[in-house]
Amino acid sequence: MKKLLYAIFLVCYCFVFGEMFVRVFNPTPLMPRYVTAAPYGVRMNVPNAQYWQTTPETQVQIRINAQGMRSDKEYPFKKAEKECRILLYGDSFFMGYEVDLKDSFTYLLEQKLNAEGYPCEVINLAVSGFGTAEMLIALQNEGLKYQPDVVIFQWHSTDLTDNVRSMLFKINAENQLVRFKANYLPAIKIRDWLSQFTVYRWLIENSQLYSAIREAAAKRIKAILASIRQPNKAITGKVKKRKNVYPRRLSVSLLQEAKRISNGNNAQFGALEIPDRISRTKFVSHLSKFEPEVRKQLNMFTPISNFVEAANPEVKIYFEKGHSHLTPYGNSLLTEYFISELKATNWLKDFRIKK
Amino acid sequence: MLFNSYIFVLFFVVFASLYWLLRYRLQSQNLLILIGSYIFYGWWDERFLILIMISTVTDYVTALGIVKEKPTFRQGIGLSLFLLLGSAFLLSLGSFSETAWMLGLLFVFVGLGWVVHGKLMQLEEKLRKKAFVTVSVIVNLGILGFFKYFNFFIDSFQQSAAILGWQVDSVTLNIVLPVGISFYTFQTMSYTIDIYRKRFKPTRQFVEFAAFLSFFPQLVAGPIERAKHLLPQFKRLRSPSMIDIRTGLWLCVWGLYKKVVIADNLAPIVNRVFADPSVASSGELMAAVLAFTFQIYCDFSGYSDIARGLARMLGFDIMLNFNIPYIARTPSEFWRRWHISLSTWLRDYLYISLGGNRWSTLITYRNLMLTMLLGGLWHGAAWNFVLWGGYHGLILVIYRKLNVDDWLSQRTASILIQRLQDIALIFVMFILTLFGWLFFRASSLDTVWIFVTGINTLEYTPYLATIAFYLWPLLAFQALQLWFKNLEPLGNVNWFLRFNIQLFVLFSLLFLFSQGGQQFIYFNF
Repeated sequence: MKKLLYAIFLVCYCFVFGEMFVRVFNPTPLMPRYVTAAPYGVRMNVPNAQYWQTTPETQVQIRINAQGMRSDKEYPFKKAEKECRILLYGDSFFMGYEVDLKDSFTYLLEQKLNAEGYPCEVINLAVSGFGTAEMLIALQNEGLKYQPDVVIFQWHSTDLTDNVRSMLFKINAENQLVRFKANYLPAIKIRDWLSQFTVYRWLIENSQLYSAIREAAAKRIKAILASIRQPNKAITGKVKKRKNVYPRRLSVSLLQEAKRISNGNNAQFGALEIPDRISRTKFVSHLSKFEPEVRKQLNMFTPISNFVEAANPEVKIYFEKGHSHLTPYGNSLLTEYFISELKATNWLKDFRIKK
Repeated sequence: MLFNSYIFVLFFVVFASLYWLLRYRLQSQNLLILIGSYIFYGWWDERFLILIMISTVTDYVTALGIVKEKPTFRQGIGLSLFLLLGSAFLLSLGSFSETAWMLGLLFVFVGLGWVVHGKLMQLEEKLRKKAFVTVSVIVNLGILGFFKYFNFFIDSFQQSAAILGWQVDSVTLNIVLPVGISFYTFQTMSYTIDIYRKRFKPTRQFVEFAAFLSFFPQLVAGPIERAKHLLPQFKRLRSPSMIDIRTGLWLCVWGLYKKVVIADNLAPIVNRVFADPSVASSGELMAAVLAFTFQIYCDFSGYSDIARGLARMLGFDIMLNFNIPYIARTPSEFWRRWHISLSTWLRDYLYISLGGNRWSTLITYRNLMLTMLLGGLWHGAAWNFVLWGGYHGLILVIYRKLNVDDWLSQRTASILIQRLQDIALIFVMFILTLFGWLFFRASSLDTVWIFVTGINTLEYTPYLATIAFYLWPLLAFQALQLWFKNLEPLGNVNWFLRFNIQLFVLFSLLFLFSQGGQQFIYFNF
């Protein structure tokens, strides 16, 4: 009995020691995300979830409404008369991770539009981890019910590989986009199971040790995979050099399909890029990978020139010690840029209330 | 295989399990060590195993020759086949374009070996001993010289010739440096030289000798073992105790910590500043030299610790290679604390062979300088290592001239005064050492000059905070080592402190490991 107590004490001590160690020597952001399976085979935010995200730079509460959106209100499917609706699909950037709701792109966009005389509702259907394929499926199954006037997909460089990896769609021999797998729900079962336990929920929101272990494990696994794959790389060096165009083709087809069904439901369609951050003053846009006619046809926007113009070594557009999302300033820059682009498209001109 | 790779962990787990299964069978266990070591080395480049095999066969035969023994005819055939078939097998593994003439060369080597061996055995006693040890030294230094120094000397010769106005055609070859060649070559040479000096009797057991020469924990980066110390351990059953396994494991963990947490995290500072020192501030230049001073120490002593730890878990004892070198008060003390296995090797086989300090003062100084210059050159075929060696030779000579070591052993001041004197001496020696590392790391004299002129004010840089962040646990541990006068002080502290230290190191390994994944610096030597 004494030995057992002793062992329990030591185990607890290890956890406390580890937690303190991580907090002092390796502060780790606490970035829980609660996602579960939507009925149509992709992820969705857990309805009514409320959780805190804490990083060395910020602490914010994420509140999800009953419909699985990051919002404090509910939205009926039927929109009000003479009002416009903008539907946003994206990943954690559009979700507004690491910023308060009132500093998020969705919220700012709606405020700004209203202030400028556009009675628009902006509905944020973003889910952390989403790629274009998942956005398309969610739009087909859920989004169109909200009678949108404008549909905007977030575009990020990670989408290229995400779309291939999820295997939800493929391009067949006839060069057509076809649905391949019915579901893409990575680690959702285990997440659902773990989330029933208060201890787990407490750990992911409060324990930096848990977060650090999860991150370290992910890094190690990647390192092991890389070391296993390396020999093959050396042998197939030539193959590696050849540009793989499939991810881009697949992504373009997915965006074209989203545009087609949006237009078919009387909604305009566009894609808005979140550039990659290199440093406080350097950013990279990946839209140059697409042909100019494709970019034009798909209404692809990138705020990179606004970011570069606003960049200043003293100011952060992206967070640096958390998970590299946009700061409130970054969100406001994105909003300003996007409103000017929206105006230029004339998509909303019929809704404008003349003062 | 790198000690800090996953494949090595897998290798060691499999190896140790088989090793344990064979714990009552000495010969089989030695054979397992030999095979394991060859796999360990061949993982990097199987072709260069042939060099180890050549050294092994040569020194096995010449050592016997020195004491007028020889392998039986059957053994001779066996050794020849080991070399020829082994090489053919290794060459067949890769797509090596020169296989045919390499095998031809080995055939000639073996044939010549038979003939020369027969002739030498007929010589009279004194001449025979000298002849055999010469053959051993020529073969070993020949391999080392060719693979490590050929291009360096040809280049230097060309440059000197060009200065004198001669045009010499370029004959430099595309030679790859075999990992660890300087380490195992010195180890095997100590074997034949010791036998020549009648310090030691040669072994007739070929497998045990081959395993001694290629023992994987210390094969590629030392410690450079002596046959007298390590070879007898291959002759008896090894039964590591639980304490050996526990302390050996801790040595491995601590060595890994020094390598992947301290050295690898200091490396980016060093690399960044040394890449373009002309744009760095005075503080950054200083921080870079300081960072390199501890990077190279943690990198190399970390490797030695892992080597000793692994060997201990297998029931072997490998010599100490580092003994808190940066608290040395004088250059001679520094060399008794830094890379001990190399400095004692140079002392025993070079300095003493040159006459040591038996003759006049001037000759002693010459011997010191020569030993240190060659010691520098041992690190690599480049003039900066020679300069570094020369620099250390010079401060050895100056301290000797000033009689500092004698004064230290004879002083009669009170303990407090002595301690203060020690601190002052340690400080001066540390600054001298820092300066030496500048030669070692810099790629050219221009770089050294940029540092020397650039460091003109004491100023703070964020690099210093990074250095302090990674260094304080090492300094705290060394304080424990000094306090308890024990290099493995964990046995001296109470269980709770020990537990905390171990937890700290384990969590550091988990969370603070550098993602760069640097190779061990001493692999290049």
